[in-house]
Amino acid sequence: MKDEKRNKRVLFLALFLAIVTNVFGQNFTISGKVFDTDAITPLIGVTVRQQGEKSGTITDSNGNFSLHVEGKNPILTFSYLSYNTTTVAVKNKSSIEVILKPSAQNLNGVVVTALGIKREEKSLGYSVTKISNNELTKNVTGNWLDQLNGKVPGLNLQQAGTGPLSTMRVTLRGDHSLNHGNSEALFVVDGVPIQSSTVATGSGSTYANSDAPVDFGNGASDINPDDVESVTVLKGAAATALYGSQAGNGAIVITTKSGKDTKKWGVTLKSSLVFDVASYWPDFQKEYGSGSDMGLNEFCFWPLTAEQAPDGITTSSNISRYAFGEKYDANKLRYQYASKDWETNTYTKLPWVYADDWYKGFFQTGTTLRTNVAISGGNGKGTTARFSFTDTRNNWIMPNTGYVNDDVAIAFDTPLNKHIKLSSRINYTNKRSDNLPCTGYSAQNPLYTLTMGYTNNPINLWKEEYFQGRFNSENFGADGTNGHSLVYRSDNSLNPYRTVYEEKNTMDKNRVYGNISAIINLEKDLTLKLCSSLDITHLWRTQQKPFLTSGYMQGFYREQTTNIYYTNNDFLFTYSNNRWFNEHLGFSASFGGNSMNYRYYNDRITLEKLQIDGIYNIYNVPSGYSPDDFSYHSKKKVNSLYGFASLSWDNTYYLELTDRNDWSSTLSKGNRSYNYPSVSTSILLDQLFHFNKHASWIDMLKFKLSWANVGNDTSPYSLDRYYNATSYYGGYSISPNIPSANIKPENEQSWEGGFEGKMFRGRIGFDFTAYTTSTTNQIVSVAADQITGATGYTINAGKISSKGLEISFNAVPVRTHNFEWSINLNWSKIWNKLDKLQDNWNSDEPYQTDMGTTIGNRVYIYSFVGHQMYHIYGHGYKRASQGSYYLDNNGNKIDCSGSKIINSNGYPVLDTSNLIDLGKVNPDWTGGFSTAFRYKNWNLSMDFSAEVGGHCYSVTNFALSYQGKLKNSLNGRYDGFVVDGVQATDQNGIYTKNNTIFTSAETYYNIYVWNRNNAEENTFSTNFLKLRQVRLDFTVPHKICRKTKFLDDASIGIYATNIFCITPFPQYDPETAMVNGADIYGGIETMSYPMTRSYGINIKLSF
Amino acid sequence: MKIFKYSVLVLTCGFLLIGCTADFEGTNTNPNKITVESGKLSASAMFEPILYGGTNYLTYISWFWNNELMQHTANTAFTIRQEHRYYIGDSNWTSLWNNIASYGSNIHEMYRLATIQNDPALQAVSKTLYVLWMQNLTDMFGDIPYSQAFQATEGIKTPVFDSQEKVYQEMCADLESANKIYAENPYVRNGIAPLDGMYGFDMAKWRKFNNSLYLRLLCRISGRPSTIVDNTYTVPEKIQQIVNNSSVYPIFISNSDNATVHYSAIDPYYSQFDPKDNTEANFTAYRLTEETIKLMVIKGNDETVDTYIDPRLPIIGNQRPKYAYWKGTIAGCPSEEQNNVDKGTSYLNYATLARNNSDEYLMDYSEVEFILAEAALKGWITGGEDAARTYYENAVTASIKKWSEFGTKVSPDYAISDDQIKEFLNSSLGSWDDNPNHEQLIIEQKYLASFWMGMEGWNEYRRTGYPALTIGKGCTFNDMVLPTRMGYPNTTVATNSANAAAALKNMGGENDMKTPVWWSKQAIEK
Repeated sequence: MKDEKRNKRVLFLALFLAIVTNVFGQNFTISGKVFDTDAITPLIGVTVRQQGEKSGTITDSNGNFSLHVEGKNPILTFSYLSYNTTTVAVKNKSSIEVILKPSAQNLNGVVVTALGIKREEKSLGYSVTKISNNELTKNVTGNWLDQLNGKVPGLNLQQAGTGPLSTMRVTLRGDHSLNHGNSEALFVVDGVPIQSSTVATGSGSTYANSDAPVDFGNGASDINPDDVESVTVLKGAAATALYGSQAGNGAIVITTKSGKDTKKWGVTLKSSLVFDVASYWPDFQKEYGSGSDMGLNEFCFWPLTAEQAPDGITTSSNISRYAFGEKYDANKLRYQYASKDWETNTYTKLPWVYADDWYKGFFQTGTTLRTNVAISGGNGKGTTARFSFTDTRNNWIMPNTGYVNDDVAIAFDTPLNKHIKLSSRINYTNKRSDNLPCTGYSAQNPLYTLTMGYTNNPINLWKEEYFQGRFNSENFGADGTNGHSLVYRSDNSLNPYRTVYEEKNTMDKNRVYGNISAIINLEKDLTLKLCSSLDITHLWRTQQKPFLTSGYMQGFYREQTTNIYYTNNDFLFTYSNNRWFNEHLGFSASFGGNSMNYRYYNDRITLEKLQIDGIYNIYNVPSGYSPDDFSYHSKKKVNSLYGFASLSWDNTYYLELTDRNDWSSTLSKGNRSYNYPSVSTSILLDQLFHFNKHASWIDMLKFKLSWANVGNDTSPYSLDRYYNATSYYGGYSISPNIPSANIKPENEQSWEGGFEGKMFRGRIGFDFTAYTTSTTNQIVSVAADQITGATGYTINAGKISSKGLEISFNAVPVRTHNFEWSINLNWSKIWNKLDKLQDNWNSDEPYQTDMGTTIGNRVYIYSFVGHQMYHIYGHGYKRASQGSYYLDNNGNKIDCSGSKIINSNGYPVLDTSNLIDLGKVNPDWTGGFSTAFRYKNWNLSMDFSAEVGGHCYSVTNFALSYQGKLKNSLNGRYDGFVVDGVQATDQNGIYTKNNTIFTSAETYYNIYVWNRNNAEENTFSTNFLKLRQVRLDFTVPHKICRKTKFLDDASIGIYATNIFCITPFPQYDPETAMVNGADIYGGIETMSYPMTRSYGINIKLSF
Repeated sequence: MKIFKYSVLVLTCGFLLIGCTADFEGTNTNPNKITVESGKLSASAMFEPILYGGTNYLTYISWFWNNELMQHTANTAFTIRQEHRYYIGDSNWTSLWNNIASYGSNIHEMYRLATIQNDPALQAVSKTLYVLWMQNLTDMFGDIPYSQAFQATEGIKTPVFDSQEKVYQEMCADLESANKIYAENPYVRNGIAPLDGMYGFDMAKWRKFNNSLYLRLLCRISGRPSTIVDNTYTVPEKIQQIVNNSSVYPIFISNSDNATVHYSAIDPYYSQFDPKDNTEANFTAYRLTEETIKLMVIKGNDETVDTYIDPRLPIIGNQRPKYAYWKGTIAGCPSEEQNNVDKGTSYLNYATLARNNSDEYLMDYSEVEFILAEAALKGWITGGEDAARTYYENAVTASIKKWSEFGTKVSPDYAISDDQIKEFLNSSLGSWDDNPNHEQLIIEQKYLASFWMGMEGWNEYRRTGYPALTIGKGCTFNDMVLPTRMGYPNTTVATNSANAAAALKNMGGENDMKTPVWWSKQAIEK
């Protein structure tokens, strides 16, 4: 309504001026300025034409234009992709101001590029993908980044199923650097980079680590999607070259919402409620119960004396965490854990049946309630403000875990006068949790305990043991005086409820980030933008473990404070002029600078023993014990100057040149200055070949090509060799890494080219992009032999080349007034090759990705020089060599090359002499498909995604399988079978066909097949097809809203996620990984949490 | 004018933000650590992690590797632990190589600092310790870089591997030169004595350790007697020289000379097996084997009847609750048979071994006496059979006394009386007269005495072939061969391939665990 009014005002103004200026001649030049809806932001590249005339012009970077008009009563049309075309009658004014209103359907035409510059998509020589706000807030649970999954070709999200905050590693177009922590995308909010990484707590990896890591979330997940207007994904180096060394891996550019320029203050209320249900489970077998003797003896939990036993028969215990025991049968009565009446100390035999909830019962329905209130408005004269508050409360799928998140965002824009506009964005976020779970294959993860449980014990028994106080030193361990803890009798008793209720990991994170900027119009064509930004994080974490915790029998307490200060100061001069060469040439140039300042403080104290159980503070120290102190502070500065020029000719040819020079404090004097240029070009073939005449159904057809050279610097203090402090006070050891004072910045060169088109008035669009990047001079610690005095030298080495294809396609097959059907398809493929490692590297030897302990050194992620990167290597079955054969009954030679070799007892033998290639970690291709149907005010949408060609080793799989708890150990339980393979004879290369039936299924499955050493069996394809989301939205018709007198807008949506997932990967989610320190690594899954299906409802009301 | 105005504006912006890079040096100065370049660290600051950490590591590998290879124990309880079946691969090789070399590297740096700081006492100590670690490295892997080791900062990133013979010659030379420094009783800087939890930097004691270690080295290469050490002497000549000149080459003469590292159990001075990190379940998994039981127990007609046991056995092992006799498991048994052979097997004594205040040993007096016994028996030194017997009985007595003292640190204690020692020396287990193969007796008792002390059991087994161990039927992972060495790690082969290949060629084998090292019986007999 307001916009209509403004349009009227503009028209009126135009009319008035037309009358006034009518007296002037018939041919004259009219100049003017075109603004965005806020009446402040100039629109760049708007096409201005006189109606009926072919020629026209476009607005410059300040929104200015001037056009020669003819005739008595000229009418100008202003067209701009994704904005409504507006016509204005000029009459005989010499100057006009026009405001354009965005059109809902074409919103994709304008994108925010590097440094926050809004550009027309058609003028760009590189690939960008834009995601609008309503895509992001569709479904918010753990991490909003998940909404980008499957929507952006070339974007890869890796997560390790690590808990409610579910940190994700974001890479664009694959890993470019051997430096794993150096391959993540840059996050930019309102033109300013922010901290997106995580700070590790715990040590090392998620395999067999008693100090298991906790996922406390990463910096990128602090961004509140409700405050985000749009996200632009700048994938290639050309797109991000202006960010210099920080954005060699692409950038996620986020624009937050600003206020609306209306006098009326609008209030938007959004609320959503999401239910998370753990929905994907291992394939449990329900036929055989606890035991490791194949049911030879009766199951018996309690060793009873004749006096204790009701039937007077002494029993001895026969239990095992393995499920290679007796067949379940309700008619069998056995002494089970529940047989004991703890009050009377009497025992009764109970039916021997499978408990359906022995594992699943631990999980609850998680809920996330999210409420957002936003107030937005202005004074109608250009001053606008927006205030938003968001509260998120999460109870996770495991008891006593979850988090609370409060976000406040303030946006304020005001024109001080005609020349200066001030803007400010401030975001505050507080994220806190009373407990986040430990992750990985560790006794600190409740899942670990669950996998060790007996399948005849309902979950209630765990619950009762803990809540009735029976998890105590008397019942603890193999030697418990008073009986036994519930888990299999080992030295380390565990109870998952105790883990989540007492082994707590808490956090309280406060973060403020934002900026103040001023845009000053210095001259007609010259503006200066000044911007100052700040990002401060204060993070407080504790980890508590009571006595009798596995690995910490005397308790554990750690507290950690992290402070991060990150500031950026910028200036940017922009000059543009479209008046040259008879207005054929559009020209704009900028020159700017940035000063980045980073300070990091991390202090941590760890007590691996406590004096008093249950008291958690750093003074609760037993005598003779010293807590472990850790302190690390670092600083980094980068100063930069940059400039760019963009030229366009006739609205057809576009050329952009950028150059940036950085000075980084992390490098030595001679190397600290480095330069990054880029060139990109776009040619509009539709203009060039005048498609509007012979193929008017083509709206736009663009050829794009770009080249860039960017890179990375390094972390602070990488130039000198140090002595490391040891636990012996005053005792030092020499650092095992030898740095080089002469390291140079990493260098990444990339080419990108492709076509983009829009047809049938935007009903069909496609983007085809191919790229190649080559990263050299990588700053890596290359492997060294410790006998030289170090395990690594930091040098510039290695070369990785990537090639990729990205295709996206969208169409609206049906569009009527009431009904619309749209589809969206994207597909991408990456080839990632290790071309070179260090000098003298023997290329037969692999480069190992350092993931900490990779399943106790059983499974490795290797890359070989000259081959695609990241393959899983591990042991597999011993197999007959090429040319082997056996003789069949008729004496014919039967080739058996590659057959499993079976030992004389009928079991297949593992080959430990060689590691074999078990498959590529990264997929061959990934794709996403979404479709939406709109009928009147109803909207139904579905998102699918798929990946093909990746692999992953699964810890969850071996952990449950070798214990016989899954269906994959049922075949041959009692009768055995003949494993397909051959047995060796005395003569080399000659075999006999195996016909020995193995005797023990337990040995077969436990020792041979599902043993963790057998990486061949435990590695699976991660191909999948997921229906990620189905969503139904209803928007209340405006008529009805108007009737309420106060409601402007109302909508309601319901949705469900992960409706199905078709995959050969057997355990939970094929999109999985492992955590080591602060990094997430693909290829190995280490007991991640179950994949959930979420059901949500959200309501939006605007007043 | 305008141009001027904007120039000023641009320059102001430029300078304000970009400023200068003058403070970059300061920004990039690490506030957390001391740089090597600063030269501010004193050599003694490197000593404690080497002594305490290093000795813990040697005790750790004794438990994890020596015990399993040498069939003192077999961890048959965890399906993931199969070292006793020789399921050993590159990651194990890497870890052993890197850890041992890392101590070598730190000692090398300590020596460098001591030299710069003109501290002969620490120079000598560094040399002795350096040889100890390099001995462990070469004994485990065979040929190793020695003359060019740890010189990456001098630009040697692909060091040449020296033959084991040359490594031994250089180690002997280093011990000779350290002995000369000790002989001058070098000044020990004020205040550093408490850092040394072994000898309190008593130079006389370090000297005895140095020369005892020298004897260990000479004994190890005694199968190659013609090797020239100290530029002049054959191996037997050098041994004789050391024995004859106790004032020039003082060696251990009693248990009080032992290279014993004392741990106070005050953080961080914890010995390796802290109960905090090692539960009893951990230890029950380490089952004693038949081979060890055979050497320490005399059985009656029935395996359930023990007629006599080595008095040290209850200190290192424990019986299962319901089994009143000592029983060993079968090292290297196939997985299928594991459950059967494991029933009732005795295991490592948690109470005595898992203490955070227990002593650990780099070398002991009994080893010296065992060396002399062998030397006398084989005629490297004078004295013949009679002297050999005396040396042997001294050695056994010293070992039992050492373990007796170890066993008195817990309650109830395991003190062993002198009578018990006599009884042992008269039993068929320890008697000189009852065991006609004296070489076998000496080495088998040396094998038992070296329990919990680095890799000495494995080293001596490879040198002598004693005790004659049976390879389990499940040892398929190394084709039924008890590992003769560890392989070079991938990193070594990848980064220094030509030199590693030359070393393998010199040793005459592949990079596996089947190639014998130069001083071993197998190599000599080949």
